[in-house]
Amino acid sequence: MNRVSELMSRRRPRVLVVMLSLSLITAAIVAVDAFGGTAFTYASGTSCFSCHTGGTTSSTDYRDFNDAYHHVGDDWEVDYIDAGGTIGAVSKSSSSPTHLGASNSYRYSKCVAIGPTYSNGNGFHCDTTRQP
Amino acid sequence: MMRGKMKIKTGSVIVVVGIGAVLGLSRLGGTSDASQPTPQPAAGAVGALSTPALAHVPDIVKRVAPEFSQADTGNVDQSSAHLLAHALGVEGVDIYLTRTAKDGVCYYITSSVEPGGCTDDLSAAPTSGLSVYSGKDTPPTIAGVVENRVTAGKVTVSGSVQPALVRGNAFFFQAAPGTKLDDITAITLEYGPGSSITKTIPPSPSP
Repeated sequence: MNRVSELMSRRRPRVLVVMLSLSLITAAIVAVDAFGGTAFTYASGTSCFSCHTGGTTSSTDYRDFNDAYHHVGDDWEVDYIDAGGTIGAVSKSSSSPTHLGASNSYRYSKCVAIGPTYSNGNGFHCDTTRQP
Repeated sequence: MMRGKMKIKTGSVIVVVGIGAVLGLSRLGGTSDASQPTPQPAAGAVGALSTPALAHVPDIVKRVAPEFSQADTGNVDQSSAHLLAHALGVEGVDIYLTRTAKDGVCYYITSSVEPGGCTDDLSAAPTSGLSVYSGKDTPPTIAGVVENRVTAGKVTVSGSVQPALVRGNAFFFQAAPGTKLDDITAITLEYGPGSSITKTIPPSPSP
């Protein structure tokens, strides 16, 4: 019995090291997931009628990044609207995606087609990537 | 007997740790483009890409490039990051550039409102590498990337034509305080004497 106890006490540090390694790996996976953020598409369509309204999303507790994907050369605008209804940040561009980021505590955001060439039937979608 | 149980327990833990390590490494690999094949250089329209890339990937590129890596654009090659311009305007912004797997380019502006985007067609849409933006503490600004053949830039603000900065492939213009975003109505890119294009900037829709 004394020999068994002796063996266990010899192995315990090794088991503890293995358990600690397991915890660290789990923590690393969780950290990578948090960095990756959560992405979702909040609006999509193919026609001018739907793309003009674009769709909206709302957030007050997260750091959001918004991207409007569309045909390069079409003009799109991504807006962050404050609680008072004013535009807190805006980006117009014919890049695809048209990107606007680093805004939080806004009431809602929206993607809007503003260019003259969007009526060609090309599809679009607006994505939000949310980070805690 | 006890020694045998210990062997089994220790063996199980090692197996679990091994699986965890493989999973962890595969997840880490998914967030980096290091394992992706090196994309082909973007069309010769952007000479900055032929110079050595930055030794370290800028934070803004690390954060935003995964969003740009979609079917539309192709994966962004983060290791191709270049600094196009440094410390411009009231915010002292930097403009970074990367190439994509689909022969396009993406640009990143370190403004507080962080505009940016991607384009695969600077020749057909010469201003598609530019963003027109503003924010609470950010006056109306135009910034981004232009082709090699652009020699100068101008911006029309409330009917007045003003010069923009064109340095290498970087384009930058910032309006005077008090200017509204919709006061910016056009961008002109010049390609040399007598050759230019002017792009009208559509107004924002009514709220």
